[in-house]
Amino acid sequence: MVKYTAKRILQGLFAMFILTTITFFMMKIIPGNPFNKDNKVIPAKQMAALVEKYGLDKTIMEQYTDYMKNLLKGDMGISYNKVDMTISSIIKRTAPVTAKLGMVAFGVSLVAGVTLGIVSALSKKRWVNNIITVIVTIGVSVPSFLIGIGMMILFGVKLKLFPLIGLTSPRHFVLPTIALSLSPISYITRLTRSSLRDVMNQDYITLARSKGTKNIKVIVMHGLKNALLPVITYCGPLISGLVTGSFVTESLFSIPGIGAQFVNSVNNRDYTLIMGLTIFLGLLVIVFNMLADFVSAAVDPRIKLKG
Amino acid sequence: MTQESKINLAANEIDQSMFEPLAQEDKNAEYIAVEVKTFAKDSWDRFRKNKLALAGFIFIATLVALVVLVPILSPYTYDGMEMENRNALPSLKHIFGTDRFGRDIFVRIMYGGRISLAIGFASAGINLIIGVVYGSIAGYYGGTLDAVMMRAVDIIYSVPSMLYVILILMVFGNNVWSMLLAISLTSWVSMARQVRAQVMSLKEQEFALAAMVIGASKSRIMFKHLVINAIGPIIVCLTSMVPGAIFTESFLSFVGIGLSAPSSSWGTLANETRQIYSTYPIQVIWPVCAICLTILSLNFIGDGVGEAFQPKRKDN
Repeated sequence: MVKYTAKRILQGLFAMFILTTITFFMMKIIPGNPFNKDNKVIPAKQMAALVEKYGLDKTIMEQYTDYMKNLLKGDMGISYNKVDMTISSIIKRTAPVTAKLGMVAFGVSLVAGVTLGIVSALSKKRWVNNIITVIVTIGVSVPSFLIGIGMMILFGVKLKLFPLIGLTSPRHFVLPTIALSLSPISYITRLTRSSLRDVMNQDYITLARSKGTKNIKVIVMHGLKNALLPVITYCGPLISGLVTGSFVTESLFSIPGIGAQFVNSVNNRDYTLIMGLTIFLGLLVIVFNMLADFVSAAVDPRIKLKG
Repeated sequence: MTQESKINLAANEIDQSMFEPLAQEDKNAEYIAVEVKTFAKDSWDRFRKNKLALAGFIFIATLVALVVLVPILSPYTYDGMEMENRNALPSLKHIFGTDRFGRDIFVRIMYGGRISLAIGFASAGINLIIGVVYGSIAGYYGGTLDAVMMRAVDIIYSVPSMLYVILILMVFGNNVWSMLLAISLTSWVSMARQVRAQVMSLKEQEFALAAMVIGASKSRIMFKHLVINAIGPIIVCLTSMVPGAIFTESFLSFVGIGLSAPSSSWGTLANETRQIYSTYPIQVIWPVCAICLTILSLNFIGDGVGEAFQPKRKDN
């Protein structure tokens, strides 16, 4: 376990290093710097001061080592557009909003996905399976942003059931959560269904039944415990999907979170902010992928033997 | 009845006709076999059995035909405005209605489809080339090279590809070519993994050894023997990439950081309707339906292709 953990952490750190390096150099090779776009407005003297402030007069390698050093200290520099705003303060302001919505969506995805998966794997009724298959197919095929805009029209404009803007009351959570979690729910349903069906055909399930164990106990203790492994592994990609999904969901529903901030920064060409947010979100996903791997390795001893 | 009469009776039943040679077509009368089919015919027959997949295939084929032929079929142009006829509801004249500049929505959707579908298919093609070459080299050589190549794949895989796509778009500008480049550079990893796994198991089989023994070169063994035998999983992976690419493109364009006018894909068209979703919801529906139905059809095709090329695969 120690060896596996060490290896995985090393791999994660390396991925983070590559991500920050790529992001830094990509941002630097974008032609021109943001201050000469409309530099008629900025006097030459002030311009020089700005260039110095952002360290743009140094060589690229110097800027790179400076950036990496500061990054290790948790300092990501200051925004190009909103001068005097540090990237860290922007993250501190927006991340909790996204985290709140993200956690709700995460929980809903897991609970609903696993439940639907169990129902569909165990139900003998044809219509139950058909309904679930329809939901799953729609969830996988219809992109989250289209679900979002569809619900805005249906529930927000036509039926006026739910508020459309912001994230201030529990009712505000309903539509964004559905938009974010419908496609993960579908994936988790598929995963749970196929793996539970597999597991329920194993010999040890027959053995448990033949010993007279209660049906519910067989399903939960013997079946589900083994069937949930792929779902745990999926939690990493799930976080990644929620991060990407937050870009569009937050812009659609005007939620002041990190996803909407990221889209804005791209639109405003706020390079330092883009860089900071890309690195932050990338690190977040890498860390969660790592955690998901650790949990599945802890639950399933076979994984660390392989890795 | 005596023994002798029994023999006589038997002798009477045997006549000359029994010793005639069989007609040619009767010779295999007891030979049990199904009709011999080529790989392609066999797969197509299995694909056809899946009604949803067939419907998806027909939809996509019709769509491709419409998208290609729209300049010939329609009297309207992509940017022709009718100022007196703005925000019109669907009618016989404009079957999807017109937008806020009086442009025919159907024609615009079809032109948008050109971009969306082209990006979907072209990036899948590029992914196929990168993924197959990368995966088969890693799988065939194995050892340290494989370990290094696969770690690189893991690193690309561990970060949401959307982030890389956005970075590449920022560097190369918001046009169709950089979108294609961005999607192609980030989404070949699943293909590479799939091909590597296939090549690794296939290279242990006798036919690969036989090819090596008769002196076939490494690249010949890789591409003529191993990759060809992995064609089923490769095609399955390929069909899943097209909707993925269309999704990525429309996602970014919808948020407003992908393609921008004049190259209006479905995502861009959907984005343009975001301001008017409460006043003219009907205009939102067209691009949304175009994206949904296309991705749905492509997913159905993907399922059908999966069953057709990997009959052993478990249905989930």
